[in-house]
Amino acid sequence: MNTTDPSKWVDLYTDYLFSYALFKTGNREEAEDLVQETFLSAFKNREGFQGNSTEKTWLTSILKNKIIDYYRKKKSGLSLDEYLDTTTQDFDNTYFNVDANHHFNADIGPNYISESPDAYLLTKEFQKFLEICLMKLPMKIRAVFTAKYLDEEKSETICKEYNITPSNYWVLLFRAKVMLRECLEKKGVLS
Amino acid sequence: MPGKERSIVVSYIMRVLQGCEEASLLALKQREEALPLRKKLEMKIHLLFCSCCTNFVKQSEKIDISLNGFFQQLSEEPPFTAHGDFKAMLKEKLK
Repeated sequence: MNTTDPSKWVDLYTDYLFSYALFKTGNREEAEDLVQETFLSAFKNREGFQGNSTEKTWLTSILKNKIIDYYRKKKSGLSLDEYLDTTTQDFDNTYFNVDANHHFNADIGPNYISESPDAYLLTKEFQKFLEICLMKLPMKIRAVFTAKYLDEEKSETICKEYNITPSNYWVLLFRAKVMLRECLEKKGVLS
Repeated sequence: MPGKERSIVVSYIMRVLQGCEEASLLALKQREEALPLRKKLEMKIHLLFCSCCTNFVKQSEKIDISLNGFFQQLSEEPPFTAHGDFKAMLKEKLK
């Protein structure tokens, strides 16, 4: 049975879908385009909505597929595996001492993340820094990173969706973590 | 072990075993996947002697806690708001 009501979609779901798309793409205009395409495609196929999931889940899954297509089209010649190969040197030089067996460049002070109680990590204050730092992740890395943390997908699914090897999947996640922790230690550089 | 000898041993271990980059990546990976025994051992030994990596692993766990909390709230409290004009345009198109 079709229970969907398109006249209410914009007020109910736009901010959520827009936030989701913005974390996935890092770009406001592209997030808007993807949300618009999602609504139009859902509107066109509204008869197909079976009510087996909530409207929100249904719309999110349409958006998610549009985002996977968006990344496939946007490859501009470089696959994620190639991206990793061409950026390894920059990444290593930035975060590791390549002359000393790839030791971390420096123990980042003041090291407040390790010492913060978990409750602080869930406060609006800390999560504002997290939001700033997430938005700074490179586009190529954020797709896989958000698939794991936002969509909670399994690694096999992510490797298939983004056509990467399991070993490069871990390299991407690792790089994202290194970048995030550096940014967070600087409190998002309070930008 | 006296300080000087210990530091020679540690620097030897750091030279022959994995570097921080490999060890800390494996430390994250092993939370979800089994590692080959040799890799796992090398990583564990590296972490025993390396405060940078143990700190990184701890920070990574803390960041996970924050990330999970943050993304769980995304649905209830979207952090970004789309422009009013954009919403108005969407409403027109969905009529």
